[in-house]
Amino acid sequence: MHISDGILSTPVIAGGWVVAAGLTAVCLRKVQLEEIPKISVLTAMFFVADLIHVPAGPTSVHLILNGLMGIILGIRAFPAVLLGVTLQTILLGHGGVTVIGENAVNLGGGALVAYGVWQLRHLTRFRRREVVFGALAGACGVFSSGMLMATALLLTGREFLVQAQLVVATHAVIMVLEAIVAGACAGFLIKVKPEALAGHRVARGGAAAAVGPVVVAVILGAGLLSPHPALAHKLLLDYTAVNEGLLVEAFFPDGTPARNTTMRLMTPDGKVLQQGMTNDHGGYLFPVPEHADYVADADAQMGHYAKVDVPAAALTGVTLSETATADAAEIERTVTKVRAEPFPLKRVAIGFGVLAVLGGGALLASRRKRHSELGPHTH
Amino acid sequence: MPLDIDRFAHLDSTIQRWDPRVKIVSMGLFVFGVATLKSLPVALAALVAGIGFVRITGIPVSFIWGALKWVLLFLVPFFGIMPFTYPGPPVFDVLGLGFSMEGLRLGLLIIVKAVAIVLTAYAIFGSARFDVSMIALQRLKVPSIIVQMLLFTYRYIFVLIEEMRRMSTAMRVRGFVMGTNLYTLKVVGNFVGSLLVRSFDRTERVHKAMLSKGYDGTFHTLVSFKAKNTDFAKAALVIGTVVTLLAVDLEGFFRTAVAGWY
Repeated sequence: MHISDGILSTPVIAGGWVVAAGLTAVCLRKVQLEEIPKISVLTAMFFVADLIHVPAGPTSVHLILNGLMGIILGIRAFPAVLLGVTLQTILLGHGGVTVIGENAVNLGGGALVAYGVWQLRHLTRFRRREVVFGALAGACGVFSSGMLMATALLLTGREFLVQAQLVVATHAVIMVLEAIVAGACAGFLIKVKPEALAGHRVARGGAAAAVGPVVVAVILGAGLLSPHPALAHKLLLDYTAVNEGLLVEAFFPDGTPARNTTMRLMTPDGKVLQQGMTNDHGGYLFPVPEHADYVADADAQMGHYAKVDVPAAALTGVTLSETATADAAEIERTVTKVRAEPFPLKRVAIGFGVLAVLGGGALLASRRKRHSELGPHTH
Repeated sequence: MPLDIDRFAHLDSTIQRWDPRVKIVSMGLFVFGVATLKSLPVALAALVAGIGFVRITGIPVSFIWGALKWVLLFLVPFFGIMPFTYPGPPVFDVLGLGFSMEGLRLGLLIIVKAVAIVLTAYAIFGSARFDVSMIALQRLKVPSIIVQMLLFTYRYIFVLIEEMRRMSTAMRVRGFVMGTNLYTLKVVGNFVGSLLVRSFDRTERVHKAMLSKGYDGTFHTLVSFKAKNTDFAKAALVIGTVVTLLAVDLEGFFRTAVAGWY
């Protein structure tokens, strides 16, 4: 799947181009004249894969074949994917002109991961290892592409969370089809033309070099699948004037308290009066020396910073003192607030519902006929 | 689906007559400028400009629709989900779900920008022969190896499609019917594999033929470019338009509450 124009933010688009250019330069180093026709054929194959439809239940999906590119071209797969994506954008309108870089990083990155997985076959020794590792490489290629695309969406904004999850889900389905095709193709080529496959002999760097992309992919996947607390989360501050002083609490939008966070109480012109570390509930109790305007701030590192103004009017009823008279934890028991923004489950459900209706409508409207024969479908 | 994007390159218009190098640079700047727009009215102006470009080139709408429908198919989820997931003040509730105007605006913005860019891209690459566009890229200091690979690939695409048709006919004659099953997918894998083997053999022959005719890694062409003053005037017009659009956009005349999104 290709991202279209107009969705990603400018920094993500620029980042996509920079990474694509860098990887292309690295992957095209020491390229020989004889290699160019082979790379071009594979680029054409990658392009044409967009036109090969395989049936999937009531509809049909087209192949991606980026894993197969990695299996056959090795690291040269990246520039091939870049050019393939460029032509798909210009000739077919898949994707968008400004996001060619980002799409190449998604699909080409998947191809590099697939190559890494493919090379791991040298570690084992059984009869049909090419089929097994070909299938694994095909699956990993598609899956990492989905992950990279979801990452690009989430880097653009948290409001794309649903779409990012949808992307990962779609790729998880395509992954299965792609794995079988890539496995069968690798098995075919090892019998018919084994020299066409990448890394037919063990590379000089050995399997160790091949593990690199796999490790990167695993880290990326783990980072994306974990409940992302650090992902574009803001730090929020809330204050409550209690009898013993001013209770300031720091927490993240999902309600997780910001523990062990440096919190300061300052005058409006920035003079620091007191500071301390928040407790397990993200709270800190400041003694209030006099009725005046204050500013409280908290810094949870890694760019999470928040600041809140405390007007003098809010401090009526606070016993004035220079030093702390109570512990924040004791006060917190009496002050209970709900501050978690619950996950918008209903919103997501309705989003999917709307999507299903729109998708079904589009499907009916286009009344696409089932493809019953294999071949290019140029609509 | 139109694979021969240059089918209407022979038509005569200001854009077809434009020096491809100058055209690619200035229209390319336009496209990237449009991609960074943030306000809906300005994006609509860009869409009007995109429609204008296509009208000038004379490329029929039905030709572009083939590509445009894929873009729209991809964008429908964004348009459908955005109003419900975008954090903004809900205008009304649908089944207890806030419908945010801000989300609708963002969804519209995405679609308008995407369509404007696709139309402009067609005006760029649909208005010159494909090989001429590629040579223009080479003159613009795109690495020669990349341009050559693009040209080879463009040629092989049609070869592969022809080959696929032949193989597909052969399979149908032998009674193969596709279905949602493991067997079909394995056949597809073997199909791709034998397509590749055939193509490798063919390219080896072509490569040897090229070498014997003196191919040394550089392309020689009879196409030559000559930029005239009118070419630069058109460039100034297009770049001026996008700079104006960006300035209006950044000035924020039309901006409502976009602080959280860029």
